[in-house]
Amino acid sequence: MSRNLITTVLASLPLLVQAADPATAAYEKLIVQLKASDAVIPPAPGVHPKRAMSNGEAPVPPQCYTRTEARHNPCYVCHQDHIEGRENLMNDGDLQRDYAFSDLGMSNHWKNLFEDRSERVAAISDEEILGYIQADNYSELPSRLREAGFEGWIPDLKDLHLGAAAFDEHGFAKDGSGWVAFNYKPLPSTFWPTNGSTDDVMIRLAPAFRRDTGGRDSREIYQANLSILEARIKGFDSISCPPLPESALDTDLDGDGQLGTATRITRLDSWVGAAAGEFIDTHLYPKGTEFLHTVRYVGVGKDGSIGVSTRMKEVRYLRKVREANKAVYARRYQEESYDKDAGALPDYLGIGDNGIDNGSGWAVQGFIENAGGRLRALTFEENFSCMSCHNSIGSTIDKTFSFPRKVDGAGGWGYINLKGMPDAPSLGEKTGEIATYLARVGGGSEFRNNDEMSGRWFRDGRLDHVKLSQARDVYDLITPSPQRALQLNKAYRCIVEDQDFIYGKDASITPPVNVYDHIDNDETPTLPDNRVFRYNILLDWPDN
Amino acid sequence: MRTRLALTATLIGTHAAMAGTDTWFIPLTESAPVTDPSSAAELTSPWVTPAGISQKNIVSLREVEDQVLSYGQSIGRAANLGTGASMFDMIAYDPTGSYLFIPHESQWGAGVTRYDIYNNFAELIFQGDGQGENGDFSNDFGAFDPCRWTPNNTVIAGEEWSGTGRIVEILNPLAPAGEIESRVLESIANVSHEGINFSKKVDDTIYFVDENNSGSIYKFVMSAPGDYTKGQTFVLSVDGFTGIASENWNSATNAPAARTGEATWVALTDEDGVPLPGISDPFVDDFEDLEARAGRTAADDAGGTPYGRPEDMAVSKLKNGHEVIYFTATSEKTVYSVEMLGGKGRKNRNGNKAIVRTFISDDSPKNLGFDATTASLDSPDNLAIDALGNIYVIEDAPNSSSTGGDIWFVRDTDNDGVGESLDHFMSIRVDGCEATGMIWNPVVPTEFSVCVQHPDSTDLANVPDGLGDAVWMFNVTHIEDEKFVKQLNKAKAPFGE
Repeated sequence: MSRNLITTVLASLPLLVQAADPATAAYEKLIVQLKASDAVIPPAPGVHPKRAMSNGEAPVPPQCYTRTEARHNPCYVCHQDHIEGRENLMNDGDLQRDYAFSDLGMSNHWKNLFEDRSERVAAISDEEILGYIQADNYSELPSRLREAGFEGWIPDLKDLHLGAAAFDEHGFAKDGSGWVAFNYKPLPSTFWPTNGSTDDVMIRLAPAFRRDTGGRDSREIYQANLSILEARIKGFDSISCPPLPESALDTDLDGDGQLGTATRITRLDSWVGAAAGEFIDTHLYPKGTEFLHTVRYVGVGKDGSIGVSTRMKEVRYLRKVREANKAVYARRYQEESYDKDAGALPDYLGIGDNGIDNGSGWAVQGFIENAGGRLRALTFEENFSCMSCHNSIGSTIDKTFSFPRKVDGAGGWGYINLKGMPDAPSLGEKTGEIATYLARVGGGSEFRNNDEMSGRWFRDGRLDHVKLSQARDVYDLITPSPQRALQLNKAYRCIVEDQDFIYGKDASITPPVNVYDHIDNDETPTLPDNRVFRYNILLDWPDN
Repeated sequence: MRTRLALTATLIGTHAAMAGTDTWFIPLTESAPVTDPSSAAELTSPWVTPAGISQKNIVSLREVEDQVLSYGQSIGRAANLGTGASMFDMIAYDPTGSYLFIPHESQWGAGVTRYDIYNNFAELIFQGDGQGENGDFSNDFGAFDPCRWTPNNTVIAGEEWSGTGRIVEILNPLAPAGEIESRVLESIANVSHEGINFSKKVDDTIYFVDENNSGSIYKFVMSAPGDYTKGQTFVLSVDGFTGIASENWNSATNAPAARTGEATWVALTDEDGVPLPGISDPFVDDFEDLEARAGRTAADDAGGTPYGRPEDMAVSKLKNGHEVIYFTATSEKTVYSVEMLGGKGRKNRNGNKAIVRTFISDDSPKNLGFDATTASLDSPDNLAIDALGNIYVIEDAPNSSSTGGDIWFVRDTDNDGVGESLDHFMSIRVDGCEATGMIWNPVVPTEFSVCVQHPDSTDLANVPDGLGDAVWMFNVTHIEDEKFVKQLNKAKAPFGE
């Protein structure tokens, strides 16, 4: 009997049978099963996955329960009003000012936040965790998935565990898979290494965007289309690009009236090559766009340098399976607001091994470590929580973060490298984005529980601008000391052992103080108007 | 064809006696859990119902799009819209009960499919050119939500949240598909149409609503009975409403304001449809600003009372003989009744005064006298009336949780426009869908149909082996309450809607 058939049969049992097997038991049972399982495909709950969820408001992330004390505002990074021209009409800037949780959402279900892991962390030696994070848990994943009959996307980028070594100087994967790495600035602040994770992101466009009109692969056409995409996503009028031979592309990319070598593209109204006739608009990816995002431990080199680990915490994958114009997105946002007004909980369609359909064109899928550290596919609820960031906040562009935050133009193609990266301001601002964040939040993380960041960049509770000015780059600003890195890695390792990711994945050693276990929409203090900020996820890089 | 139209005319000309009955079934006590896409439950009995009610699938995307099973048939499916590609909405019977007209609420490429029930043949008889996908609705239509058979033996369909808020009239709905003729009724104000219905008491009035959180209630009084192309438009204004018409029903100003009680139909135009001084033109097809709804602006000018997303609307008669319209206010979890107070003269005989009451809401008693239900009234959307005048409320809620949406029976035995109990009638368990278009058969009073709209399986890329949007037919002949069945069978035609 196939997995799907089992699920179907169980789901069709009479109501009384389901009532005797409540969901509260189902998700606890699933955690027990996950701890014992070495399979690459997780066990299926015995009920419809939506009824086996512990937290129907999983798209509300732990950070939303930050104790803001009417002045500390990390909320602005996600919750923003519409910016003209963009597809994102979530318009949730008011959530900086007001709580609007559902009844269920008012309780903080991320109970891992409240777990003290001090003793468990202390029991893990530095050598042990270093050995652990240096191990490769990626390379075996594709074959394991194939053997298990997995029908979703199977990782197809060779040697990705090696990080930068898997790519050439322009970011192209050396294996010819079409994946292209780009250099971006991590979003404040959960994705700062100092808060527990490193990561990398790759993009791949559909085959037509990589080929000429004759169907032949063309690196130049691919580079041109990637550059056009970057400009369209960012709403730019032009963008720099690697030197591209216009005659080979038969397109005057730079608009100078000649077919020479283009280093800047001004002609952005259509794709080039085989994709020339495909739909194009600002702030939207074309159908077939894929993102590969690996979340990793904080790697510590022999010289104490911080970088990506070999071991992956998660392998995340987005694929745009359905493209739509902005009117479709507008309707989606309208429906979502109607549902929320009606008190309905968020709902997304599980699409089997392909993950979850976010309803806005993207299939969202991922893999995470099992108790032994091998990667396995996400459960429905683990996957469900991805919807917080990849669907229902106002600051994203076509539901994405990293690509809009790519270093502009030709200089931004290549594996992520925080060294030498300036603290570019958010578009429309003058002060560096990280410095601004630290000032607005009053700490180096949403929960203001990063003592190392506080010690580095604050003095007497105030931001130390002198020290900030001495930081050479983003690396200096947001990477932890080796000691902190190891502690955070150990803390996360405990969560891996527990397999209770549905209760939160924040690598905290002791429970943060500045977090609510319950919020009352009407009573909990909120931020005053002078602590509410406009913010653009785009960055004002020195040169595009 | 001539015979059929003659019968149609006969049936249209009568008016059923309306009086609510007692609850005729044992109400449910909980909403149904959704099941996996294409589960056995979805494919065989998508609704949990009281005992004795049968259900069978009569048409689906799956069936019609299979050209082996359904050679030569067609059905609406717009491009690039995933589960929203077909969107069966508020279906309409022809008066003989032989055909169902299925409006497609797709964002573009909206159309109408005619389903010949007894010959099991579906045919797309009307559709725009699909250019709405590119923002061009000059020859396309979006989001057909309502569909009605008219007293003129035509079919109307209306644009709700897409397009420009137009009403399209299909002039010869039973003609071969290639000979279908249609026109846009520019005489009807542009709003987000959902509930639109003809008066059952007078022959010159059409009621309609605007599905918006600042949506109002309208009526159109024809210059000459039967002429839908010219007339006077009114908006309903509650006399005691002290809020701001252009704001949402629950804005800080409007939330405490009275929106029930005595009300007045305020004219937006003269009898020829010319906007009155100070009132914006309510008949603008704004192809540049697709969010605009000229009728809404005109209603705001005239002080139309805002409600929380008025959706479906049904017309009936109260015990005192006055005409009543019921409309759902989805965002308010409420169904209102509007009693017409009568008027003088040939035109506008329902008068310019009315009384608005809360017919039923989530605060109303549920399953009174029966075992309680754990369900609540969420997003009431569609309405249906059986042959005895009972009102059924269909929720638009199931696509937002692991629990299916419900259909409720409103118990109003004294037929005074204020329900006594909200009784839990049915619950759907199809993942990702909502129930739409519940309608009672005009000829077989024991039979009704309901659509499954936008289930997961309409998106073939995700769920290729399901039914997709579908219509299910129910029959109550074998329920335990034989008295109710006898009453239904004795009811005077035409039967419910």
